[in-house]
Amino acid sequence: MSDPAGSHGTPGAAPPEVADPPPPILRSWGRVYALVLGWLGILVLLMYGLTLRYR
Amino acid sequence: MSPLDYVVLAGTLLAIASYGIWRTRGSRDLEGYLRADHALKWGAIGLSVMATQASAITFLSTPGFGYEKGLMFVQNYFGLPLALVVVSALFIPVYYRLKVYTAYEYLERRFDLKTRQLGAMLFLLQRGLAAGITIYAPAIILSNLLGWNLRLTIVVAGLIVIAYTVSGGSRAVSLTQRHQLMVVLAGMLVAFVLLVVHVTRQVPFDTALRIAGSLGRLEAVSFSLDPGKRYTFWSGILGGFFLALSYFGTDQSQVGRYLGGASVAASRFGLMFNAVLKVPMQFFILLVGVMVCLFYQFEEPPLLFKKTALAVVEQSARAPELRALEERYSKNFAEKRDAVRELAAALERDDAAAVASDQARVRDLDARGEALRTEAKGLVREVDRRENPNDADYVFLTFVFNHLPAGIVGLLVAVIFCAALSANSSELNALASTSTVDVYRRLVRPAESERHYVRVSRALTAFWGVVSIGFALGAGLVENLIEAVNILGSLFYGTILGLFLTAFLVKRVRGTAVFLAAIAAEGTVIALYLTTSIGYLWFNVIGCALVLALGTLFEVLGPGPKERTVAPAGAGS
Repeated sequence: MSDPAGSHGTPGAAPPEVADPPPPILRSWGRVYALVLGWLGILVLLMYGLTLRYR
Repeated sequence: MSPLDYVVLAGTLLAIASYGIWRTRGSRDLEGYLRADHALKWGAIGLSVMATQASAITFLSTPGFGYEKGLMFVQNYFGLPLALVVVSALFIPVYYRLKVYTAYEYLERRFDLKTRQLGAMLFLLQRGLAAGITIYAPAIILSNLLGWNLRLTIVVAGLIVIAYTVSGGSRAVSLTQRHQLMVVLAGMLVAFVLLVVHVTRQVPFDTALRIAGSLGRLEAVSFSLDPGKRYTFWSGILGGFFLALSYFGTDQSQVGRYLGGASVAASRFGLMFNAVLKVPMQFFILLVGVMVCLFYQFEEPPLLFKKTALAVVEQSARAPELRALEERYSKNFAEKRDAVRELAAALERDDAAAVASDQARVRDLDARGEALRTEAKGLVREVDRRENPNDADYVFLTFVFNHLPAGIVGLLVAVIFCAALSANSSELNALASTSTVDVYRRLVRPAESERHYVRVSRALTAFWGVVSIGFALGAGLVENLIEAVNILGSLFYGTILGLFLTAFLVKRVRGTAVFLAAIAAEGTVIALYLTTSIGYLWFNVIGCALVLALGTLFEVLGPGPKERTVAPAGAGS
């Protein structure tokens, strides 16, 4: 998940480029955001289902 | 706690702190000290952002809330994924493009110096107080339950966090947070599994959940439109959105976490990691509280979980009244336990009529038990008005100390401390960043060497550490710690967010107009808090809306002095 060396970069390294290529699998940030919000919708529906089932 | 528990606790805390100091020694410039050399990958950012938000309060108050009121608090987090999407899309590219150390630098580029200073001051005030609560929370509860010296516990915890945060700066914060969060999640998982084992010795898991539902503890989502109801889908999605947008977009303790990213994409993925996992994580912690509630349907709980509150009455002339209450509570518990067992049997044989009557009986006995607890709390207040008898924050650890084996107890106390230290280290790092960059370097000594600013940052980190210890030593126990932190944030976040949203979205508004609007909005929010009973999440919406509306109004109405006009950074400055 995380790079174990992630927090030990070269001191004085140049600031990162603003260039922000989209994630290769999803192709655009819009799709990433849509997936995240879809996930939220599923969670809310599941929790509402739980509320109704165990009322 | 047994000697084994102390070994586990001390070993965990000291090992992580020492490792953090050793791996991150030697930062010589601000870039390394405050922005971790822009080297963090998305996983490190995601864990760091999560650990910063999840303080000890999360792991003490949230299970206590689940125990008393069930899952409804999870709705508070529904706006969080939406907010993280907005921060990711709108805020992060701007901060990277401008190469800022703190969020408030942007306010000067867009407006003027006084607006930047106002944003920075609101942050320092709010976060400086909150840092005190972060360190106070575990200390007061552990000192109460274990008889530890409160002041010594606060000072020792505070000194550990100061040591590695001063030494390694932002890199040490991120590195230690990863290990601390692993300990926290492992500990909570162990607690949950042990609770499930205990409860399923009495009834099957699904039956246990149906009993929890009968007690009203599984109502996770409510679409009620009643504005007096504190936790609903609507208040969570809207108020929670504004609270999270302000927290993640403008609070330096979070902005500082993702500004250490190796790229915009790394920061964005770090936030999306949280957008996906935060709601399930909070649900899980609340569910731990519900499982504790189920556990105490079969095992008698104390009348009050806070020992010192009971001791106050026991040492007074009204001790016989307390003993009478305890006897009634004990008798009521025995009746309720029988009723719960009958309900479980009815549920298993699917006898609808018996289920309905047993549910009514269980609810009635549960309400009677709660009334006896309320009576006991009233008695505590009558004997000593300074003693706060609210005990929700004590529920989880009381269960841990009384019912879990040696070694696991030490692990779960380490969980509480790890969470406190990880959140507090981010706060100290952010307070030092803002004090150094927005105040010292901007106003006091603008042309010093990098080495000088690192020395000042270290000194200011230590200073804020001492201030937070000071606040913690002077704090009094508030109603419920997690609510206290959220209320404190909500009083300031709306205004700060309004400043940033005006900067991003309303191009024509300039510095003086938005500055006056922010002062008026903050005054209004504080007046509303003191004079009305509006749910606190709405203050985020109100403060933000007031800054946006008044800022625009003042700009339109007032001729104002000729101010420099700078294109909003979001438009590419």
